[in-house]
Amino acid sequence: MSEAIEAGNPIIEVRNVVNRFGSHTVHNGINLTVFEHEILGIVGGSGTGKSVLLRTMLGLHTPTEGDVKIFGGDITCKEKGSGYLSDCHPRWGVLFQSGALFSGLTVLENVVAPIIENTSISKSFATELGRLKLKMVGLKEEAFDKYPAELSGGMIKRAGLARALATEPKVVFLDEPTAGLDPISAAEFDQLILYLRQHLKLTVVMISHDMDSLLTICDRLAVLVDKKVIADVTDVIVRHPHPWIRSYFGGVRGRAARGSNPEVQQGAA
Amino acid sequence: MTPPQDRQEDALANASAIESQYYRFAVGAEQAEFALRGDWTILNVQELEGIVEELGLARIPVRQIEFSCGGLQNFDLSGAWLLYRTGESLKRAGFNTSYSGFRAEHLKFIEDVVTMEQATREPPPVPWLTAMSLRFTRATASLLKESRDRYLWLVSIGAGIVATVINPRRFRWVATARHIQDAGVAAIGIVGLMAFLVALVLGFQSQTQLSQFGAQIFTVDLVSISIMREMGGLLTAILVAGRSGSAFAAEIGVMQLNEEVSAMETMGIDPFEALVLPRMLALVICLPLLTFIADIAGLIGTVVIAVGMLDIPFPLVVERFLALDPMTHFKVGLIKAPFFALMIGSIGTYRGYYVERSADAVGRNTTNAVVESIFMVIVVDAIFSIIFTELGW
Ligand SMILES: Nc1ncnc2c1ncn2[C@@H]1O[C@H](COP(=O)(O)OP(=O)(O)O)[C@@H](O)[C@H]1O
Ligand SMILES: [Mg+2]
Repeated sequence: MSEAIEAGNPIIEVRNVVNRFGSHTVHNGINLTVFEHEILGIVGGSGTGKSVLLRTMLGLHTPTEGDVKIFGGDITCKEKGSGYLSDCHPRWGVLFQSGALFSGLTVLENVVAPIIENTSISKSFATELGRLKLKMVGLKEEAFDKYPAELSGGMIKRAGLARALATEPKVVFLDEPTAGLDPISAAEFDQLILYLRQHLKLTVVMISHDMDSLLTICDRLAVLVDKKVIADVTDVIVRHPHPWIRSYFGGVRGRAARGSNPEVQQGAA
Repeated sequence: MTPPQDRQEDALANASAIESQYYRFAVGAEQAEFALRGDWTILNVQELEGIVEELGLARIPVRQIEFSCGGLQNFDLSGAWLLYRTGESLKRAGFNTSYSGFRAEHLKFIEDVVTMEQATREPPPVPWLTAMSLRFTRATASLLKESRDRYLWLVSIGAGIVATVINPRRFRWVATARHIQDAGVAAIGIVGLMAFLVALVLGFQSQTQLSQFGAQIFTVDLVSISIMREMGGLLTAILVAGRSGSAFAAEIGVMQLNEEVSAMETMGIDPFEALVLPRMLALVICLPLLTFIADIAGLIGTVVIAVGMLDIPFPLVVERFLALDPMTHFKVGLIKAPFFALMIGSIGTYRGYYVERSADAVGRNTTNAVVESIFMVIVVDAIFSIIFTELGW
């Protein structure tokens, strides 16, 4: 919400996706469109299938029914053989909740690895680019040669983000990027995402429970309720009449976060 | 893609332009213009680096170069980095550089890149002599530290055992029982089978040789003595090192990575007492018993060979065996077992406890635990051989 949404083309289209594990239906006909250059927040109670939705969008999980299109191509099983999925790998980046940095590699090697795997760039040039990416996410030179186990939570997230951005992707997926960070680090991380979105023209899809980040940086929110998705501009979702959404954003923590956001306050008054 | 060398020289001399898919390079009387075109992205940045290098921008006769970026289609941070890097090296060579015709996003990219200048410069290379002495110092320091750790480890194990003897109620008998089950009871079958088969093989081989002198009867002596004195204990120890030494290293290593060990400490549970001592004690109890089982199984194998293959009547086999002073040989084999157990247990638990914090470290430490403990078992065995020879046992 910090800046107006630029109208973009649809970049991800989830159509009528049904996900079932045995007899347990997690998603029952989900429709969701992600537009270019927006920050979309995915919200929902625990176990409502946020992670499954993310994995479906990444082609890590094949939906029981329905299609997922990214960059115009279908990545569900039907076209897996066509190699479309592997075309997508350098075009998106993912920051997993735990960072998922390769523990046997240094921070710098972690960022260099996807560049070398996906392009024909030489090791030395890739290393230069890797250093640039790490600097870009605000990591200090001293951290470059450390192993993930030697980093703090915030540094792991930053390094994970640098790795996600290594191959100059158009879309980044973030699973709970600010979970486990203190509020100041979380706010800094939010600002970093905004800054990178602006300069790199990124599209960001993030799962989050962090009310501050949802309300301050997301252009639109997609709420998983009743096995479906309700998606709209953040301001509209915040006032949505659905009981779960009302209690989610109406709770004490929601109000505190909204109080710090003048736009929403004005609207409410 | 790149113009041939002579044409390029000509172009520079005649102040005309060189063009390609990615750039247009023109040198005028006052200044040169390098116009970027098409895509400068991560997908072709390697190719572009080669092209720019071959072009040899630094050889132009004028001191002023302008980079114009109006003609770019796709431009990402990697492309921006190449452009920036090229500009910087020209600047260092005494050129004046300027940028023009940016679309807004490109300009911001470059600005970002410029502010990151300090950070992206490689640290200066360390002279090789310094580097080597640094490496040597570090290796020595880590060797010293490891020796100290291992020494302290053995001391703690000794102290723990003494403490248990003084105050057996504090000891974790339930955990010990579980490890006796895992490391001892579960290994009985494989240890027995192995000793039996080794006795058969030994018997078969020695009878082929001894029969040349008509001395088949000595097969009984040879096989039973080697099993009781050496093979039974050594083979059991090697098998247990592979089964339990590796398990100790892996179990404790994973707990260490999972911060379970730290969690124990914060709860006031001494991880040494809870994890290390029960495993040590279980091995010290089990290994002599397993060795005994191996001895028995090996003797059964000897009997099978003697009676089944050499047609020596069973009473005669027993008579020969008793004439060998079997208790001394048994004793020689069994005395070594607790020391083997100490080696295997202390190395396995040490390797688990001091695991580095990474995923492949557990695998590496497990391998090291097995290799080191087998090596140490053989070293200890050799030391005992010398002692027993001196004692005349
Ligand atoms: N591989 C799987 N097999 C069976 N059930 C699964 C699997 N993955 C997820 N689920 C179920 O799907 C539901 C949604 O999980 P998840 O997407 O992890 O929720 P969350 O919204 O908390 O991220 C849960 O009830 C979970 O039990
Ligand atoms: Mg989840």
